[in-house]
Order: sequence, then C-alpha cells, then structure tokens
Amino acid sequence: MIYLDNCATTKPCKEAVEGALFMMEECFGNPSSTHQLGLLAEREVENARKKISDVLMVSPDEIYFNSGGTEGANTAILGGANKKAGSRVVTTQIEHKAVLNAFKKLESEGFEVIYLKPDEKGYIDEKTIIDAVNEKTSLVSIMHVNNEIGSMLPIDKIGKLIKLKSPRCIFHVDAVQSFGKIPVYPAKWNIDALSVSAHKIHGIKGAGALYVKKGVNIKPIIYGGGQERGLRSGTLNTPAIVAFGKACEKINFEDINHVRLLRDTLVDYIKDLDVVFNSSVEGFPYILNVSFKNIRSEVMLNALSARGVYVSAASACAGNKESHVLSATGAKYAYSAIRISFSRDNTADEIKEAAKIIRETVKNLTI
Amino acid sequence: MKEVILAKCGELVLKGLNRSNFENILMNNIKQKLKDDLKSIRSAQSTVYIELNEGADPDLVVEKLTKVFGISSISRAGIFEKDIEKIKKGACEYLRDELTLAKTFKVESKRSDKKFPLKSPEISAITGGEILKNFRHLKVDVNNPDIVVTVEIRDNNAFVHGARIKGAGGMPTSSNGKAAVLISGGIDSPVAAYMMAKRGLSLDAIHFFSSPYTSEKAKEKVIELTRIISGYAGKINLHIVPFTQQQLEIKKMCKNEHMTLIMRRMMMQIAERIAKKNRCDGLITGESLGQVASQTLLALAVTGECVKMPILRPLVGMDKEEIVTIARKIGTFETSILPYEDCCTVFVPKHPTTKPKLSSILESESKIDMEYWIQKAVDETYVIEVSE
Repeated sequence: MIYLDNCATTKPCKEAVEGALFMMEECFGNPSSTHQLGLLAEREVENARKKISDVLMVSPDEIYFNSGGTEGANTAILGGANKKAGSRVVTTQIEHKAVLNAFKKLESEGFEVIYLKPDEKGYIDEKTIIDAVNEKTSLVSIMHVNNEIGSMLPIDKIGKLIKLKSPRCIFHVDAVQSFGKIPVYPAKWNIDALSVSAHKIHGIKGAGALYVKKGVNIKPIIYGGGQERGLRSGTLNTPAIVAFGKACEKINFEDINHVRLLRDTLVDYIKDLDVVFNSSVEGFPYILNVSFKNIRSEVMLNALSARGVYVSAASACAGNKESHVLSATGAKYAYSAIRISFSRDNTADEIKEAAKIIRETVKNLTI
Repeated sequence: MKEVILAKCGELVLKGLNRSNFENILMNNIKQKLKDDLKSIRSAQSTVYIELNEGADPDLVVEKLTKVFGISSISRAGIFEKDIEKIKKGACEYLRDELTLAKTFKVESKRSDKKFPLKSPEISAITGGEILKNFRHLKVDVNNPDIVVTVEIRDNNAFVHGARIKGAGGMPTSSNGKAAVLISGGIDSPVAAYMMAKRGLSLDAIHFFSSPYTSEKAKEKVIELTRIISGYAGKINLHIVPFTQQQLEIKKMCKNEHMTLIMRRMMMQIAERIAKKNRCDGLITGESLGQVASQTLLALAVTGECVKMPILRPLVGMDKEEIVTIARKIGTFETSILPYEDCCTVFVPKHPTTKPKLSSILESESKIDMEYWIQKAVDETYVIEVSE
C-alpha cells in the first residue's frame, strides 16, 4: 500500500495511539468530574491544550476543543456573524464545504455574502480581499491552504487591514490543511478565530480545536453542560484530545523539505505524460493536483486503488461531484483531476514506485 | 396467553391438485424466513398456522411475513379454550389496545366445529356484549367499523383475531423454478428481480463489473441491492463477471454506434451460459420499451436474438414513474440512486443506433472473436452468496 491521500486523513502516529489508549484504559474519568480520576483526565486535557497553544504561539485559554474542522468553522461562522455589527460577510469560492455551507446558512438568514473568485492557480491577493471588506462587514473567513489544489492565501497580511476598515469584524481562518505543516501564528497575524483538526496531523479522528482570541465574541452553537467555558458543551473526547497533544509534539516544520523533495520527484517522473498540473509548483508541497488528460478522475482513482496506490479525486468529501474549487479556478481538465497528498511518513522509494504505477496505469487507460 | 399467526394463502387456492405442493413450498419459505422464531407450522383450509417460540417478537415476525410471496393476508390471533366465558373475556384482553383506540367495532364469528353449543350469531352477540361492557366508548357499526373482531371456533381451539394486514401477494418463491437476473445497480433491474420473484421464481443475479471504469463502491451497491431483493426472494447467488477487457475490445474493433448493442449481445450470451450452469431456466432484465436507445423494439430484437432461453422483461410496458414507485415500496430506490453510477461513459457511443439492422450488427460483431471473449468472461466469473 502506498498512501497518498494525506489531506483526507493521516495515519495516527504511535505516540497519539498510545496517548489515546492510556486515556481509554486507565485515565478514563470525565474531565468535568471533581474526583481524582476526573482531575487526572482534566490534567491530561490541559497538557494537550498547552501543546496546541504552543504550536500556534497563543495562550492556552484561547484554545477550545471540539470535534474537528467542520465544527470549528461552523462555530466561528454561525456563532461569529452578527447582523448588528454588519450584515455583509466575506469568504472565497474555494473554501471547504464546512465553510461554504455555513455561509449558505447565513445567506438564508439575510446576510449579504461575498464569495471571492480566485485566479487560475487558486490564489486571491490581499487587495482583492481587502477591497471586498467595508464598514458593514461583520465576518471574513478565508482558508489558509486550499485542500484540493494547495494554493496558499495571504491570511498573514490582511488581519490588520480588515480591522482598519471594520473594527468589529471577526476574521476567521480555516487552517485545517496548513496547521502543523507550516507556521501558523494567529496572534501575530491579527486573526480572531482559527480552526484546526487533529487527524490531519497524525492525530485521531474526532478532535479539533478552535482558537478564539481573548475578548472576541463568538456565541456557542451547541448548548449543554457549559464545557470549554461555555463555547462548546459536551463531554470532551479525551482520547482524541490527548492524541492531538501528542501529535503536536511531533510537529517539525523542517518536514516540509522532505515532502517538497517527494513532490518534486513525483513531478519529474510524470511530467512527460499527457498531464496538466492544477496546483502551482511554487505552492504548498503537501498537495499535488494533476489531470491526466482524457482519463476521468474516478477511473484513474479506481485503477490506482486496485494496485494499492491511494489518492483522491478532488477532496475526499466531495465524492463524485465536480469540484467547486476547480470550477472556480476554471481548470480545463477538472473531470480528470487527481489529488495526491503527501506526509512526512512517505519515502522516496514509495514515490518512485507510485510514479511507476501511475505511468503504467495512464498507459493502460489511454484508449 | 397463547398466540398464533395466521397467514392466508392467496392465488394458491386456485391451483387445484398442485395446491399441497405450493403450500409446502410456502411453508418451507416461511420456515427459512423465521428460522429460530418458529415453533410449529401447519396448514389447513388454505391458511398457514404459525406458532412462535417464547421470546420471539410477533410484530417483527408479521413484518417479516409481509415480505413472503404467496401470502395474501396476515393476522394475529389469541388461542382460547372452547368455552364462551373464556372467549369473551379473552377477546377483551387480547385486543385491548386496538379496542381502546377504535371508536366502532363489530364481531364476526365462524363456527367450523358444529358440535360447539352456540351458533355463530349467538357467539357474536355474547362477545360483543362483553366488549361494550368493558369499553364504554365503543359503538357497534356493522357497515364500516374501525375494527372487526373475528371469533373462530375450530376443532381444537377457539381463535380471536383483530386487524388483518395485507400480505405480499404473488406466488411462493421457487414454486415456479429459477431464473437469472441481470442486475446493474440502477433503478430498474432490482424492480424486475422483485417482480419475477413475486411470481414464484427463485433468483440468481449476474452483474457485469468493469473495473476500473466502475468502482468497488458500485459493486458494493449491487451487493446491497441484491441483499434487499433477497429479503423477498431468499438467498441469491450473485455472479460477478469481470467485463472490462471485453468492453475495451468492442470499443477498439467495432463501429462506435454499434458498441452498446454488441456489448449487450455479449452480456446476454454470457448470462445464458452462467444461467445454464446454475440450473436457471430463464433470464430476467430490467428493460423497458423505448427507455433508452438500446431498448427500442428493434434493439430488443437484436439483443434477444442471440440466446435461446426465455428473456423475462417484467418492466417492458411500464413508465419510469411506475418503476420508481415500486422501487420505493420495496426499499431499493435509495440505494439505486447512490451516486456511484457506472462511469463507463467511455463505452457509450455518441450517437447510438435506435433502428439497428441485425445484419449490420452481425457484420460489426464479426470483427471480434465473440466465442473467445464470452467463454473468458464465464471462466473468470466469481460468486458471492447474498442473503438477508
């Protein structure tokens, strides 16, 4: 098996699995309980919180645990938009469905939603974003790294400018793909809310976190026992949270050099085929989106899967539907787009083997 | 209190001397369906009497029986001693929920044991009086009651039953032999399979699988559809035919506009061989006249010409809407519309011929070694056993 679908999910690292096991077998108390076992569980959760805040270089009390990226985005958008502060909200056409469909909900509630169009490489420059913001804008949500083509948006340069135009505006960033792979510094970049997910960085499914800057008013979308300072009620998923903390300890921003080498190797091996690169080679090296002309995505995907090479067509969640991201960028060969996404665990030998299989498959499928 | 489930046979009643044979098949099908829930089963006067083991949930059993072909209606009955005191009290207790919810009722009695001292109208009057005494909100309505309470005096016991539930109708599965259905994963073929099972056929299923042009998920979907059909038709052997190379060969060698028809002719011949090997006496398809280019009358003639077995096309005269209605009723629709459509659009001609001439199809077909590719597909076929 050669696993090249790391943007869909990653294999949990050993430390994460051990951390989760410990929480299930021994430290299984409810962190809200006040007896000793509860306190121990709470201590583990707080350790994990500290580790995540360290990676983001923020304060631990600005981290709110939840179930993952979708919940983070929904909380920030639905709980952050505020008609009194302004009925205009801004996002992009290439966001993840978790963001786009939350904005669809705002639209149905009477908000004016601006969906910014990217260029053909999936990029949107600072000026375009800032120009869309006016004094009536109460929410801006921009993704850091696009999950289908890996384009990187300038979220580090716009926070301050958004605030200058609309002081009460909440600026949310979907950092699910970038977190743990490249530096993300919400405090330094004037970001008010930022979503991350554990299973994209070798943690386990079912945990994520929302960073909310101190003093920023985001209302809960789930009500209950008041956990996570009232923003996210519900018993904490302690095994996944502790695994998240362990996965954070393993983050090393130097990994990107290894991954870039893998990506470049693969590109070298396949570039003479009848292929179009939908993602920019200067961009985020963890994602390579390519179209093998005249071979439909799902056919390529099935053929590679039969030979043990796992990739995806557009994003894993989108299934068979045409990708909204590639329609937005106007990609000509969207029907044959394949997303190959890497992790630090992939080896050069694996990539060479994958390239060989891809070449043979393309040859077999060209009819 | 003891309880029995009565399943009334439908059309079997008409079958003269074959009746006991049909009833035996029906009882056998019920046995297979109910497995450990069943304590005893017997038939008399075109009714099957089913007694359940302790712990079996009668509601679930009735639900299961509504999927058994050959049963026209189902009712649950309490079993009582042949003593009018016990019968009238028992009726009130046994039908408490139904009587509480109803506004009007009537009692019907049947006395097949003529030695019982009371006549039918007397039994009805006494039982009705007891019900009125216990359920003061109820009124008698002989024309259009909410509930009919039936009292039956038979040789050994008295039975009291309430509401009657509609059965699946049709004829007992396998009472008419076995046929093989060509199943694609779309809406039509599962409905065709259901309709022929309803007429008493047991089924094998044949699916043509074009990996990588269709995905594993598409195959799983076909397995799931087969599983749903097996809820009505009993265990089904699903034959998976790897069919990619054949399609590629046809695409390469034959005229583009003939592609679909040649492919279907090949499928029919492969299906016939698999059917024969598995002792099926017919083929079933979901074809509906004129639905697509390959289902015009002339096209059906061309695809049907190459096999000797009868081809059953139960949907041939139905509209899509009618087919969808049945698909929803039998529970295959939601699975059929899952979006793993066969993406073998590469194998669909741009302008398929709607008025094919057999001679030109045969000429086009002669470009490939049909026998080789048909036998190869049959040899590479593998079987998945599917049951509920």
